[in-house]
Amino acid sequence: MAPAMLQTPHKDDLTETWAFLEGGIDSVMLKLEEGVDMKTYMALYTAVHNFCTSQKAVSSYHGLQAHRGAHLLGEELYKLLGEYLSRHLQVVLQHSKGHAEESLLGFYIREWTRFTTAAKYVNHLFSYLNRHWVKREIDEGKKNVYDVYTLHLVRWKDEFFENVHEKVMDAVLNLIEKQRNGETIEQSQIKSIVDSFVSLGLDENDSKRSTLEVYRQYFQRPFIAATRTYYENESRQFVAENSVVEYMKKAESRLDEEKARVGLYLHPDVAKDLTETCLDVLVAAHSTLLRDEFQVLLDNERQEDLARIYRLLSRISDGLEPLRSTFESHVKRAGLAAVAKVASDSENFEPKVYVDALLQVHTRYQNLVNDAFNGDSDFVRSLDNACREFVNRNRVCQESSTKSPELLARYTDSLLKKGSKAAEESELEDMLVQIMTVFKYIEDKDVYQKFYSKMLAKRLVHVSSVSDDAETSMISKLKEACGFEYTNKLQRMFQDIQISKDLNASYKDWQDKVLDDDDRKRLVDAHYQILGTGFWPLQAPTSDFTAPIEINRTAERFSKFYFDKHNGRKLTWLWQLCKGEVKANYVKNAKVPYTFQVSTYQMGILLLFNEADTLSYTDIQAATNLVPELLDPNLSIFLKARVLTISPEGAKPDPSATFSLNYNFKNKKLKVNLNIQIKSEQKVETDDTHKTIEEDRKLLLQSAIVRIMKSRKKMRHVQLVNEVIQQVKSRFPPQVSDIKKNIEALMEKDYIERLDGDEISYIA
Amino acid sequence: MVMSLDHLPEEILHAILCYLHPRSAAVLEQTSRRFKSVTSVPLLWRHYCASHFKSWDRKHDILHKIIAPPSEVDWKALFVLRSQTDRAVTRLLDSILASQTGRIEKFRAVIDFGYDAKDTLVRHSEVESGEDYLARRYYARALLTCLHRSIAVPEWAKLRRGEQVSLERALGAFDLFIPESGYGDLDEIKHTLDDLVIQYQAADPESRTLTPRQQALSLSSWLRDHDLTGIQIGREYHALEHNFLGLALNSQGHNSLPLISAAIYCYVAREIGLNAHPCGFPFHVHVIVTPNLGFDMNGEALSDGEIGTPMYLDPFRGARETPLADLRDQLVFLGASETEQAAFLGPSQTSEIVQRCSRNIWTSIHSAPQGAPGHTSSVDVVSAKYASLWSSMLLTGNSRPMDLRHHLPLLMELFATDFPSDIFLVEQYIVPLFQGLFEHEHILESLHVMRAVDEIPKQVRRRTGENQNIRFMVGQVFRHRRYHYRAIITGWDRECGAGEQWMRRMGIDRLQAGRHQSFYHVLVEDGSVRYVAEENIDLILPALSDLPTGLTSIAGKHFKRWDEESRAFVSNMRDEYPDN
Amino acid sequence: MSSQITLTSSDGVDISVDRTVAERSILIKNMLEDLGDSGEAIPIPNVNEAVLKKVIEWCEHHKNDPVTATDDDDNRRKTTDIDEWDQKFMQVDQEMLFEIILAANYLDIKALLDVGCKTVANMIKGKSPEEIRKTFNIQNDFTPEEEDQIRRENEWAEE
Repeated sequence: MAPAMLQTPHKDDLTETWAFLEGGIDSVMLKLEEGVDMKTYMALYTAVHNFCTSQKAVSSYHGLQAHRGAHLLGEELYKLLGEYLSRHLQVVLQHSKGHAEESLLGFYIREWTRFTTAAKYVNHLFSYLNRHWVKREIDEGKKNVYDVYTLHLVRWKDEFFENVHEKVMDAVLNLIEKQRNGETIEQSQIKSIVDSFVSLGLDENDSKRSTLEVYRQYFQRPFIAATRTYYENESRQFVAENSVVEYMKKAESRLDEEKARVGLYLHPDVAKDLTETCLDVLVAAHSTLLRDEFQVLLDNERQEDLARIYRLLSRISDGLEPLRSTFESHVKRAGLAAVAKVASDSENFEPKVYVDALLQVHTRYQNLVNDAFNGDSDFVRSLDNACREFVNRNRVCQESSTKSPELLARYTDSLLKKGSKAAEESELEDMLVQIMTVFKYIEDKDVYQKFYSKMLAKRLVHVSSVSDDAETSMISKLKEACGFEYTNKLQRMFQDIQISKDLNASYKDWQDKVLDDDDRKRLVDAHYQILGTGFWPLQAPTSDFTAPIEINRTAERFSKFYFDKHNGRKLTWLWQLCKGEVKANYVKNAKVPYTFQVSTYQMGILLLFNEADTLSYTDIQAATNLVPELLDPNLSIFLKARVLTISPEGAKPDPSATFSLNYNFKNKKLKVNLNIQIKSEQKVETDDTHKTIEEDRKLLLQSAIVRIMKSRKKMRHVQLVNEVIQQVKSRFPPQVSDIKKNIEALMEKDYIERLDGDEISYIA
Repeated sequence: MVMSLDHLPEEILHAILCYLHPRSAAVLEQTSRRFKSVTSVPLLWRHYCASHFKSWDRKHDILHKIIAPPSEVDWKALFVLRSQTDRAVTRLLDSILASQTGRIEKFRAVIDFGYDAKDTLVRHSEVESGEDYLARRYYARALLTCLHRSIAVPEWAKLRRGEQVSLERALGAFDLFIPESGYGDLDEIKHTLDDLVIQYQAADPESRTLTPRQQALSLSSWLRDHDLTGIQIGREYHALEHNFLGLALNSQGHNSLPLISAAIYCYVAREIGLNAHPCGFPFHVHVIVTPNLGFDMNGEALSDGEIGTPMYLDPFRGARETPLADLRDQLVFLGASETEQAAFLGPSQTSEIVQRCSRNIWTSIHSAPQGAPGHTSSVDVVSAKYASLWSSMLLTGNSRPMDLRHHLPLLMELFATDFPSDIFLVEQYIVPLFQGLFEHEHILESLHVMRAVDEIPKQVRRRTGENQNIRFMVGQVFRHRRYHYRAIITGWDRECGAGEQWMRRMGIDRLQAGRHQSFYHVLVEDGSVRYVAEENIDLILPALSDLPTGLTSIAGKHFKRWDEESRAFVSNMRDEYPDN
Repeated sequence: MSSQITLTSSDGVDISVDRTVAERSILIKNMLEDLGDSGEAIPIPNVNEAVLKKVIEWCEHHKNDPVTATDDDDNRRKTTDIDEWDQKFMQVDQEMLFEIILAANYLDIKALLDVGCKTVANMIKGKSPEEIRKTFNIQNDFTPEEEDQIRRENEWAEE
C-alpha cells in the first residue's frame, strides 16, 4: 500500500466504516471553512464505495428461497447517516433557542446555508450509495427513501424546520410590517428565508421535482393573513381621517408597493394571492364609499380622480357595474339639461343651436370615457344608451319624436347649402362627421332620410350645393351607416344631375346643327334637368299654369330633342321649380337695365306687361291660369318690391284690382331676386313630409312582413312581430300595434292567412 | 486473488444481465447460488418483459402491473409465459405454411392467444428474407388483421345488445379493420384524442372562464384552425380515408367528413365539460351542445323546471353557431314531418352514428374515383368494404331482415376469398343474426363446407399421363395477351374446367384452341383471381423489383418466396401440385 | 484550454492527464468542483497503475463524445453492439476486463462501464451453464437436487 494513501477502513466492517465516515461528515458539516483535502475526500468516497461493494452479505442468502433476489448493500449507511443528521439538527435546534426576531433570522439563514452546502458535499461523497442502493430502492417502489441530498432536506424539515417555522415567520412578518411602516430593513434576509422554504417542498412521488407546498403553507398563508390584518386596520383608520380622494391615492400607492414587494424578495407565486388580498381589503371593502364619491366627482368634473376610481374599481369583480349606471343617468341628465337650455318654441329655432347642444354633451363625455375610463367598452355602451335617450326624447321632441331627425336634417342642409359658414372644406368635413355622431343615435332614421332627400332635391335643382364633393361625402357616410338601400335614391338623384349636365351639352350641339339664324335670335338660353320620377321627392304641379309663349317654344324644342333620344319616355314640366331671369328694359333712369330673378310663375305674370302697361287681376289670371293661392302671393311680392303698382292704391290683390308696371322702379342692386319662398309653403311642405313618412313606414312594415312570411311560410304571430322589429329597427322603432295593424291589412289583401291557434301562413 | 465474474458486486452483475438475452440469464442462473440470487431480482424480469414485448392481452392488466412495486408481480413467470406463447404462435404459423390442410383450426389457435400473439405476428410480418418469407409475411399479416378485427367486432356487438360503447371506440373499430391506420388497439385512439384535449387546454387555458357557448365556439375554431376538423380545399370530399376517425387523427392534414369531425369535437368537448353529442342531421352531421341542468348556454341560472336551449355547431366548417332556424328551414325544405324534425335535431345514438359511418364508407367506395388516375387511396378498399359490411350487419335492427339478407352474400363472399381466418367471428357474430330466418341453414352449410375443404387433403395433380403436355408451371409470371395485365399462375387444368354456362358466357369456343386446351388459375396484379386459356398466356421473366408490391404481398397466399434464378415464385402448394 | 492534472494510482504512480479527459469520471469532476483544483495530485485509492492507464486511454479516445445528459437506462440497454475501437480495447485478459469494469464503476464513468458489461454479456451469450462456469471459473455450489430443480425451472429457455 502506498504511503500517500489515507488509511481507509475495512470494507466489510460497518462500525469501522461508519466511524471513519462520521469523522469526515463532521468536518464537512461543522468546519467546512477549514477546507477538505483531496485525500480525505477520496478516502470518504472510497469508504462508501468499498462498503457497498463488499460481498460479506452474500453468504447470508442460503438455499433457493431468495425470492426477491439479491440485495444491494448500503441500507445501514443510509440509516446511520439519517440518524447523524437528526442528532446534528437537534443541536442546531437547541442553539436556536437563544435567538429571536432578526437575530433568529440571521441564525436560521446561517445554519441553512451551512447545512445545504454540506449536504452538497455529502451527497457527492455518498454518490455511490445514490447511484445504486438508493436508485434500486426507489425503482422497487420503496417510499421514504431519498437521494442523500434530499435526505438532508427531509431531515432539516422534520427535525428543525417543524420546530422553528412559527418563530421564524413571526420575525419575518415583523420585519415586513416595519417596512410597510416606512422603516428600512434588510430585505435579503427575507429572500433567503423564502428560498429555504421553497427548497423544502419535496414531491413525494418524484424526488427530482419540488412543489411549493411547504412554502405555501408555512410562508404564504401567514404572510397573506398578516397583510390582510395590516391593511384592514390601516384603511379603516385612514378613511376616518381623510377624504375619499386622498384614500384612493393611498390605496393606489399601496397596491403598487405590494406589487413591487413581490419582485424584491418574495416568490412570484404569491403575486396573485397578494394582489387579490390587497384589492379585497383596500378596494372591495370600501367600494360603497368609492361609488358614492363617483357622482360627486362627475358633478365636479374631476377627471383625474374619476380615472383613479375607475382604475381601482376595475380591478375587483363587478366593481364597475354600479358606476356605469350612475354614469349613464348622469350623461342623460346632462343631455336633457343642455337641450332644455336652448329649446325655444319659436318657428325660427336654429337647428345648429340644437345640434351643437347635443354634440357638446356627447363630446364632453366621450372624452371622459376615453381619458378617464380607458375607452372601456362597457362605458362606451352606457354613453351610447344615454345619448340615444336624450337625442330622441328631450324637451324639443316633446311633441313628436321626429323633431330630432328633422332638425338634424335641416342643420345638414344649412351646411351643404351655398353660403354655409364653414368655408374651409376640411372644417365642413369635420362638421359632417359630427352630424353622423348624432345621426347614429337617431331612432327615426327614415325621417331624417325623408327630410334629407327633400332638401337635397332642392339643393340640386336650384344648384345651390356648396360642392359636389361635400354632397358625395355625406351620402357615402350615410351609406356606410345605414347601407345601400338607405342612400340608393339619394345617389340616383345625384346621378341625374350629372347626366343632365351632359345632356345639356349635347342639346347645345344639336341646336347648333338644327337651328337657323332666325330661330337663334329668339332663343331663350335655358338649362334643363331631367329627374327620374321614382327617385325624386317631387310632385307634378298641382295647379294649372300657362307658360309664356317664349318659354313654351323653348320647352317644346327641348322635348323634341329629348324624345328623339329617348323614345317612349314622358316628360312632366315642374313649373313650380323652374326659374329664370328677365331684363327690365323699360325702366326709366336706368343706364344699365335691371335683371329680375324670378320663378316661372312670376315670369308668366311679368311677361304679360310686354303687351300692356296695365292689366286687371282677371286678365292676369286668365292669361296665366294660376290659382289665387299662387297668384296672390306672387303679385304681393311684385307690389312689395314695387315692380308693379296696384290700383286702388294700398289694396290687396283681389279680382277687383288692376296692376300697372312701375316705370320708375329703383333698387340698389342691379340684380333683384324676386324668387322668394313663400312662408306658408314651407309649413305645408313640412307637414307633407310627415304625412309621407307615415305612408312609407306602412309600406316598409308590410314589405317586411311579406318578405319574412315568404321565406318562412308558416310562423307564430309573436315570432313574426319580433322578426319584423329586427328587420326595420335600423330605420325606425316600430310600434307593435302598427305591426299588428299591418298584419291585419295584409290578411285582408289575402297575402297571408291566420291558421288555427296563433299561427300565420303565407298564401302563395 | 484471481479476479472472476463472481467477484463483481451485485449492481454490476445486474447491469450485465440487463444486456443479456433472458435465455442467457436463465442459463446463468443454473451456474451457482450467487447467480441464482442475482438473476432472481424482479426488476430484471420486468425489464425483460418491457423490452421484449410491446403488446399485452387485456387479461394481464399490464398497466396496473407496471406501476405496482416490482416484487408484487411474478415478472419471471410472466416472461416465461410470453416466451412460450411466442414459440407456440411461431410453431402454428410454421405449420400453417407447411401444409394446405387444417389451417382454420390453426388460425383459431393463434387468435385464441389474443393480444399476446401480436408481437410474434408483427415480427413475422416484417421478415425480409428466408425460405418462405412471402408466405410468412402474408399469413402473419392476415392473422394480425384478424386479431384487430376480433377486437373491433365485439364493440359493435355490444352496441347491438344495447350496451354502452363510447363513440370513439365504436368509430375506432373501423380503423382496426384498416391495416393502414396503424392502430392495433382502441385505447391508442383514445390516447390520441386525450393528447388533443391536453393540447387544447394548454393552448387556451382561459377557456374555463368562458360561458359554455363561448367555450363551444372557441373549441370549434381551435380545432378548425389546426386543421383537426374539416377537409382541406381541393380534396375529394368522398375520399375513402375521410371516413376513419383514427386515420383522420393521425394523418397529415387530418381530413375528415362531418361525421368524424363531429366525433372529434364531441370527445374534446366532453373532456372539457361540455355536454356535446353528434346530431344526425340529414347529409351533414352537426353537433348539439346542451347546457347543464338548471343553466342556459350562457351560463345563466334558469328558474326551476326551465330547460336551457341547446346550441348547434358544425365543427366541419368551424367556429360559427348554426342557427336552429336554419336547420329547421332545411328540414322543412326536405319535407320532414314534425316528429322527424325532432329526431333529426336531437342527439344521435352511437349506433346510429356507426351505421351512418358505415353508409358513408359504402358511398365513398362507390362514388369517389378510387383507383382513378391521379388518385391513390391510402386505404385498402377491400378492407374498408369489409368493415362497412360488418358494422351495418351488426347494427341493422332485427326489424329489417331485408337489409340483412341484402348484405349477407356480399359479406360471405369477401370473407371467403379475402378473410378466411375470420370464420370464428362469422360463426360467433353473424350466424346468430339469422336465427329463425331461412338463411340460417345456408350459412351453416357454407361454413361447414369451408371447414370440410380445409380439412380434406388436397387432391394431388401430377404432371404425368395426360397432364404431361401442360406447358406452364405454378409460380410463373405472365402477361395476358389480350388484356395485358400481369398475373401469377396458381393452378392448372388440362382442359377448361369451368361450367358450361361460364364457357358460353366467356365465349371460350371462339378461342383458337377452344375449350380443349390447358386452362390456368391465376392471381392478377389487381388482386383478383381469374381463369385463363393457355393461348392467352405470354410468359415473362421479370425481376422481382419490376412487379408491383401489391402483387408480391398477396403472392404470399400461395408462394413461399421469389426465385431470382428462375424468375418465378416458389410454390407453397406442393400438397396439390407436387410437380408445380 | 485544458489544464493538466495529476492522478496518483493506488500503487503510488503519478499520471498526468488533461482535466477534460479526467472529468469523464464523474467522481473526479464532482471533486474538482467541490474542492477546486489545488494542483495537488488526486489520489485514486482503488485503482492501480496498469488499470488506471487503461481507463485513461479509453477516456482520451472518447473525450469528445457527447456526455449523455440523462441516465436513460433503457435506451442504453437497447443494443449490445460495441463499436470497433472499444471491442479492440476490451481484448484483454479476464482479470483486466473485470478490473476495468470495477474501476469504471468506482470512478463513475458510465459509458465505459457499459462497454465492459456488454463485453461480459457477449462472453456469456450462447453458452451452457457448464461452459459459463468454466469460462469464468465459477464454483458450482448447488446440491444435485437443487441443480436438477433449477434446470427444470428453466427448461423454457432451451432452444
